[in-house]
Amino acid sequence: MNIEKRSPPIRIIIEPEKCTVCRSCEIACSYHFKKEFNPKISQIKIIFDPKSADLRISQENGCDLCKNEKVPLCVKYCVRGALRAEKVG
Amino acid sequence: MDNYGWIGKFLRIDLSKNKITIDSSKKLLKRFIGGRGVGQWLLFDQVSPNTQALHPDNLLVFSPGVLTGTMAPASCRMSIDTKNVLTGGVLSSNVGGHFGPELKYAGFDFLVIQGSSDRPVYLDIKDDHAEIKNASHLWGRSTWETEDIVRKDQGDLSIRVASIGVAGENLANSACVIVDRARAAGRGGCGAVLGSKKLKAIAVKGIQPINIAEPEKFMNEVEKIWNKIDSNKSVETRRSLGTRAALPFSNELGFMGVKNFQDDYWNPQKIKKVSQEQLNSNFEIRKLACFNCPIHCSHLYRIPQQTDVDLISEGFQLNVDWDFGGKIDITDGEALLKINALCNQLGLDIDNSSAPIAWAFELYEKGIIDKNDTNGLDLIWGDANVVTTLLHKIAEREGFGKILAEGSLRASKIIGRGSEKYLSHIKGQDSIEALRSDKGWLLGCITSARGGGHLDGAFQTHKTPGAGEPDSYDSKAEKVFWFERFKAVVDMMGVCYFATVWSDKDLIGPDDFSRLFSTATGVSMTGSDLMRTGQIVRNVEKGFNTLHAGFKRFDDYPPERFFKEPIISGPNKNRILSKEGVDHMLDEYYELHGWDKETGWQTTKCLDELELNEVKEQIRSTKKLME
Repeated sequence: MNIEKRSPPIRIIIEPEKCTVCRSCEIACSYHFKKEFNPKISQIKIIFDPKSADLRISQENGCDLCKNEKVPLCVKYCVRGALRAEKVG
Repeated sequence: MDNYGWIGKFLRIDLSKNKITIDSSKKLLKRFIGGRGVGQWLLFDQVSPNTQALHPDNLLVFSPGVLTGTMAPASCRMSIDTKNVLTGGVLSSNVGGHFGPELKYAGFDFLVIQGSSDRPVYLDIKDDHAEIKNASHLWGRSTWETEDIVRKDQGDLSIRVASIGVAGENLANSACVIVDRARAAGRGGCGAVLGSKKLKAIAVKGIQPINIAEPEKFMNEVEKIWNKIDSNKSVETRRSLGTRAALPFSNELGFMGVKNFQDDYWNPQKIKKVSQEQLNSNFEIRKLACFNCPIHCSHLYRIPQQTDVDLISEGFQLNVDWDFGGKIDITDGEALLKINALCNQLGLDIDNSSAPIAWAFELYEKGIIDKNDTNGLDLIWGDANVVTTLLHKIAEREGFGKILAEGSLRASKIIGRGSEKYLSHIKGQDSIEALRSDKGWLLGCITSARGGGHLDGAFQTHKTPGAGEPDSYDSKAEKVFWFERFKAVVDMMGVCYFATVWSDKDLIGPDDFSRLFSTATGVSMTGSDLMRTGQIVRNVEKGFNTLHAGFKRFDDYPPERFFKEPIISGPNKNRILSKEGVDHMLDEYYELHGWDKETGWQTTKCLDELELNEVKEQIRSTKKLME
């Protein structure tokens, strides 16, 4: 199942200003792919520099928007709504 | 036991021999689960009672919990266990942030550090591999500089660093370990233990998985608990205001020590002046969380400075209000933010550094010390600049700061002149809690194995069903007995205490932990099984305190001044402790434990029931085992 097959298709909207840098999204993502907890394989990356307060959130190419889930797990476990699913089209 | 939840191995680092070994952790984890359980057992088993805290033979154990790094909510915590510099007994200091999870991703359940280096070093841990590296370029640096340099040297912003500041290097007894710039493993002087080993920092980075025995079932439990936390009203308040949300209310309940505990009620106008709402509106950049925490009780602030560089710092929790607000009467929220940031940079525990300062301010007010003692400083309540100067002096162990760096009990022996009358310590460690109003809070603090502190058996009576009235000495022992075992469970799990029933009755309890633990590890343990292991850990700590520090019933008493001086204002005016009341609670508490009431020591029966034969035999050999 890919993004085209989900009905309706969605995309992930990222609002970094809402992010708390908890990284729940990263481990939820790793669970989706391999049923393990491992930020290394996550397709959502949170890179935060506490010195400058700069934050970068990136959705990597391997993201499949969590096939077989009602909503992507990173969205599901983002309590502040920094990641949210939006219908496409 | 398979490697689910757990990783299955640990690192032993001998700094004297410059030697690192990797060993199986399975046997230890089977018995003591993880986190504080493992740390406390290793201390008991491997540190001789004759070993001083700052001697190379003292151990340091960095130990995340079994759920740390998993999707279990608030699974961010790690214990740092070592012999307590201030009490000579046990220390278990607990820290959040991201270091603990990263250690497990690097492939280790825990680290055991022994020996001492002859030159500054840091430990670099990456994926099944560790190296002892030269830290001469880091020595003398703040914790923030240390983190920045290590990350820059390795070109990786995601490296996690635990470090000491100059306070730890100089062996200040109030030195702590700082993780992620603002997360402190405070109390007990564990920063000084790192300093004594010339261990400036530990850097960790991992790319390995934590596997789960029953992934779907585990995630079902996670989802249920996650929703429970997300919909909890008290959580919503903490998301806006952190633990400081409780400030006005807790002041009314008598939890706020004022001017070194001359009173336990701060003027509400002063509380308004330092409100979290003002800090958020003036300085907040974003809400901030520890690893995988849906509560996100922290905040990141940008504070303009007179220099070109703004101060970017995490905010502070309620302890700073107790420590530098009420107790020293500083009523400027921005000043409190800066003091908190300074303590983090110097690697000073806010609790153990503020307490001797507050005590010195009172001595100055009473004329017991003067400018000849204080290096010319005028110790006037509320003066944040003087406090800042003293924090630097403590960290450097310079001038008057050298005396205060000892902790107030030892400082009082240096100063003399009746200064001991104004002390507030438990088992030799500075006590930071107001103890005259809530007797549940009192009993938990005085019986805490690490020497005071409200994060073991202490609870707030008003939000604990069946605990009676706050001012009554009845019904408190059974609750402390419950919460201290539960906290040991929480620390073995590696989850934040604020996400549990300790902070709100509808949050995570023992049965929730049972389901998370069993599905994560494949090892079935009920909530009662876990609580029993909590009791075992508590008894290992008790045994350590008996053997190493010689503590007995007398050492479970509160500071003497609270028996003599009543609260002087506010809703709890005139409350004072009674010896009969404290004795009544202690009798009940020892009875629940099966400890001897007269001495406070453990009994054969209690240790047999817990199958702690090693503890029993060691105590028997010192003639402190009661029948």
